[in-house]
Amino acid sequence: EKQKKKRVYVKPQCVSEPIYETLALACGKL
Amino acid sequence: MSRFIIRNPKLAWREIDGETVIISPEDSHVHELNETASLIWKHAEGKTLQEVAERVSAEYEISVEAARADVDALVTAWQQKQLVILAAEATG
Repeated sequence: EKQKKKRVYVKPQCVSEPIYETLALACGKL
Repeated sequence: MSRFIIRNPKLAWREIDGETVIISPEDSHVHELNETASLIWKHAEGKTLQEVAERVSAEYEISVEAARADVDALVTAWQQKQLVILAAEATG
């Protein structure tokens, strides 16, 4: 039962980018 | 010797729908973590890599050994991005 409750594993990911790019993308300025 | 994960205190982060966004004001970067990485981030403070891997294995369908390899790789990347340091002693 304990095993059934476990979630499907997805490899951990960390995506990094400059804040400028994120702001520009949010504003549609790329 | 086990070393403990210490998060960079200068970071700001927020969890949104199980995923975490970390803002690093020092180098003006944003770091987006998926759900698994978010779990690791949330439980990393003051823990060893092995303890975090055991936590991941308890939550997900993965062995401790396999989780440990991914935790090691992720924390190494975080070290390079100056999001965490590995300390000889846990603080706090």
